[in-house]
Amino acid sequence: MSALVVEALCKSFGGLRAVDDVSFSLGETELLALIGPNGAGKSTCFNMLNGQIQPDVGSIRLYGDEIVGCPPRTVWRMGVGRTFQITATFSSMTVMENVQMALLSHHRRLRALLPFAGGQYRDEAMALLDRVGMASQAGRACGTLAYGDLKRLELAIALANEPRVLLMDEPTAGMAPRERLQLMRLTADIVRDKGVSVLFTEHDMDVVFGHADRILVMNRGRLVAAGSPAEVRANTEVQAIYLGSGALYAPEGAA
Amino acid sequence: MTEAVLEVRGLNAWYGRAHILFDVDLTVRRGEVVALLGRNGAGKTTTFASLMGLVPSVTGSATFDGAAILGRPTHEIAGRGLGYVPEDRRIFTDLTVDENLMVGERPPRDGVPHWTPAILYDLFPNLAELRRRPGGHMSGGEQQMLTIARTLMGNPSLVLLDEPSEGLAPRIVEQMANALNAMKREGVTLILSEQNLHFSRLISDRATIIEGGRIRFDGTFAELDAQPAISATYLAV
Amino acid sequence: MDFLVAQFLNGLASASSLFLVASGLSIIFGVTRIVNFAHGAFYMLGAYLAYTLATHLPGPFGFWVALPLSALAVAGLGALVEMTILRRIYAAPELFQLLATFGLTLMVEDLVVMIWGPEDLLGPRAPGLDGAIPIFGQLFPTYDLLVIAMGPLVLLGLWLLFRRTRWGVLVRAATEDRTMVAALGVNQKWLFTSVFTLGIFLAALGGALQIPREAVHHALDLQVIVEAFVIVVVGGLGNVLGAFLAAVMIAELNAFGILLFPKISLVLVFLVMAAVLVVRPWGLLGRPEAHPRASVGQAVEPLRRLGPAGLAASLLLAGALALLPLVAGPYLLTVVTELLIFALFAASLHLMMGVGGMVSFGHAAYFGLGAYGAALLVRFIGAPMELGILLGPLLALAGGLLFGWFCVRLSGVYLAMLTLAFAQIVWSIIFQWYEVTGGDNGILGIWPSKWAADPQVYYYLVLGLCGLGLVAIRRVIFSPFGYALRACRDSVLRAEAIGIHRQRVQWMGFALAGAFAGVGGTLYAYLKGSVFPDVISIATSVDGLVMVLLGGIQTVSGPIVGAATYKALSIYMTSQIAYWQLVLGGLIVVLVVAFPEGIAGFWQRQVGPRLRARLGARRAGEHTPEDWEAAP
Repeated sequence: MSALVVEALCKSFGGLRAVDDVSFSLGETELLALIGPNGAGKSTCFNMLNGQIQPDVGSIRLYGDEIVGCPPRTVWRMGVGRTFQITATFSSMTVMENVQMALLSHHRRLRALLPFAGGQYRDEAMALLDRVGMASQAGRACGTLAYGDLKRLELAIALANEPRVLLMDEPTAGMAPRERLQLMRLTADIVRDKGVSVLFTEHDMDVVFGHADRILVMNRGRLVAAGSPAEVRANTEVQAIYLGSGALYAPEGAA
Repeated sequence: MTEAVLEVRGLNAWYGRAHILFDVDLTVRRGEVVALLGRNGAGKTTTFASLMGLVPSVTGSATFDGAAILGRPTHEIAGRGLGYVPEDRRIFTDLTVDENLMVGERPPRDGVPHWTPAILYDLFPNLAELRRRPGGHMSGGEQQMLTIARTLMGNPSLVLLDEPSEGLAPRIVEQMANALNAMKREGVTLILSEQNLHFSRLISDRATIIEGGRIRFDGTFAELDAQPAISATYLAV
Repeated sequence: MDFLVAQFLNGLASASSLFLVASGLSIIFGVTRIVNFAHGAFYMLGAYLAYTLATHLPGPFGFWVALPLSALAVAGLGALVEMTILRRIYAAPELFQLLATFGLTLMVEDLVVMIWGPEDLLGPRAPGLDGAIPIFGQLFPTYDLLVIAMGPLVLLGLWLLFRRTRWGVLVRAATEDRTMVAALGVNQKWLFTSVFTLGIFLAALGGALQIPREAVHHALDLQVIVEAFVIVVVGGLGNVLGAFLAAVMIAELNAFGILLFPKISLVLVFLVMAAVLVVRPWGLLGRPEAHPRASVGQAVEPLRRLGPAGLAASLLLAGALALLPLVAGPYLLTVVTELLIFALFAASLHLMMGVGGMVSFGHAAYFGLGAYGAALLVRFIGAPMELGILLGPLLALAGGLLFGWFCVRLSGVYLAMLTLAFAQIVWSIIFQWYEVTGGDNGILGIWPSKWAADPQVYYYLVLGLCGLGLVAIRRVIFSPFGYALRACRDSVLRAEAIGIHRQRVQWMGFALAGAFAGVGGTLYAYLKGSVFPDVISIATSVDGLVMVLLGGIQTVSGPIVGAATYKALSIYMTSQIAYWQLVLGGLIVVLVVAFPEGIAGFWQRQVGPRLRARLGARRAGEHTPEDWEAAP
């Protein structure tokens, strides 16, 4: 059973076809990577999966339910959590409060006017923070966190509604190599323990080839390759995209 | 050996709390084209932005045409003749092609080529046909040509060119390579940031590889080819 | 028919003058991103100066020299203001820029009265154009034809300036992308100064042109600035052609509104503005802002509930206030009663803009609705005070629900402008609906019930209710709902991505803030025994803004401190200093220039870290370069 089935997704901005007829599926408990050079359409594709951008045409089904047409908040309630490339957290709240906020929303307690929010779902929030190794920093102001810690906090927030699919946009960008390794191991653990399926974009090739079960490669809006890390590595078109290829054009007046 | 136009020593840069560049050294001599190679997120754009005064938090030193530029205001750095072609092009979409060029116009500078719209329209014939068209109504390739031409209007002694081939169709990439080589023959000094090894090889004299915010290699393409492990590690998938 | 043509031409003449002001405002905003509240003040200065020059310069040419000369002189003053004040605060949050220009407005208002006196001044007729010519049988002033021609002429001039000169091209480029313009070597400092000067020149010229048509008086500034805001927002911020279209539209609406709907002529303009913004949130010819700025109140430090020390201090303050009647006379008690009411007003505004991130230029609307809610109950059903206090704020809540529904569809400056428009709608309705509201005669005889008539008892009543209100607002801020409100301010992206319905949450926050302001307004009505349209004036709204910003938008107790300080200061100054607006305005300007990050921001960025450094506290968990060294 596929967790997510994407079919014939298209999106244009002005005259530019940012995403052009992309189809793929995310298997249950799969760790699927989406890679490609800058401007390949990864971000646009990614943002359509949680309703942030609406596609021009195409369909995205989460365990059979259509997502296209739903705003991000609805997609989240359907069970798709996400992290952002540039971390988006609530800077005026503590680490703990950030997670509590997500839990309050998950339990539909947003309209409560009387109780103190700080006292709600503390244990659950703490458990989530513990899961991502942030328990010791629960009381800190979010604005003072190191970048790698913000990424882990985002992961805890994304896990608050027990998502079935997790979208991670550049999860290790701005992290030290050791931290990257830790974060990807943690992600793999979560996939195993909670039965979550993960789609992530990433530019660190060590992370991609070291951790993904399968890799999708996009270039100029189109999906050009999909397969196991070994298959993708052996694909000449992918190599041409990443290194460029002399065959693509005649070197006239080359230096 | 000719004089250095740009000398960067120990450049470190941060975005907020994320430390992006680590002790980057870079030297560019007059008339030279240097390829700054690296994958997405390796630190190429941050290097350029730091030199242009667009990253608030930097340390180290950078000497351009004999003047220290780190920490100076952007317009002053550009005014000294450091040209910048950003990755996202940033064409003025409301302005016509002619007007975009007008914004870039600066007085002539000694010892560097002097550019006029007429010369640039020769170099980029596509643009000549679109002179009155607003920048927003152009294709990606045309915008890329325009943003280079706009920077050349400032008669720069050095141009920082950020991923000019990105997202362009092969045919356009070819035109771009020809145009850059023509610029080089005119005597323009360039740092070309690229992911595309083959494309940069067509134009550049020297390769510098950046990865994880550090310079990993600096030498000729012959030296790079002699050590295939380097491009395999830092550039390939 | 003939009359309609004349009326149409009349509208066009007004449109020209409005366009001059609005185009200047729009150009300045486009390039510098400053919402220049002082624009109306410069218009007024242009008019006053033209009056003086036209009456003193000899000969028939005196008048014709006076108009451009006064505009040039005021433009020079504008350049000076840009270089000495605005240049220091371009990096500050936009609210502080607005505050600084508001301070300037206050100063100019008093300066004008000092120099030209408080009377209306009617300028001389224009020599050579002082007659009237028949148009379709109606006599139409010749001078007005010149004024009508000025609008399209200036539009053409601006068009040529922006299309045919390098300066104009640079201005358009800077309007679109300031950073890229700098990266091409353009020094923006002088670009900004020249743009500001041009904008002020246009405003002053607009003022000068009006002297033969309208009397010059010292309240012109606010009257003009509100209309200019409406035009700029309807036309699209930063779009000159949009401003022209909007100016014609608004002026004709004014001209014919009086004829067709005399009852609601004042409201009409704002209704149209609200309608345009709902359909096209960025105005007729405007476009969405590409890089919206961070909302106000964005804090790095989390809001904290009161610690033991804070709780003790609050209890101490409450105790002291409770004991005050033992030592204070009736006058002081009345003053403190007013301070308490404004503390609630400021706290409700803070709930909306500090916690909710929605800046309001028109919070007085809800204060005023609360006051009028009670007053109308007294006037029409003779309701006792108890019922008035209970039901009065409901009118404010209803207003908040209605206006908030529109406002939360926008954000940033546009939202703020829309709140201003709604406040002006409320003001206009109350001002014009004489049969119900008494117009500017107000509603009198709104006195507390007998048992509360004594100032001491009423003081306790206000202390109790406002204290309760303040505690309730605090409680809301720390409730799940308050967190959701704050989440929408901190990161819309993240809030929506965790299932929060931003518009709904902000709508509720808007309405709630309005209701609390309404409680303040109701209590204010019973304190004064009467209500006048003044309670809804822009001045009241801006007072609220100053209180919140002065006290510190990033703290929960800031607005209360700000309200007490500011209100006490202004009560003292109005009674003691003849030109108190001059002093107050100057103080605001100095404060903003000295603390461009706001007082709270200054504390957090400058004083806070130094204190922490002295205490030797090191921020744990920060990455040193060595962390990156270790490759796997």
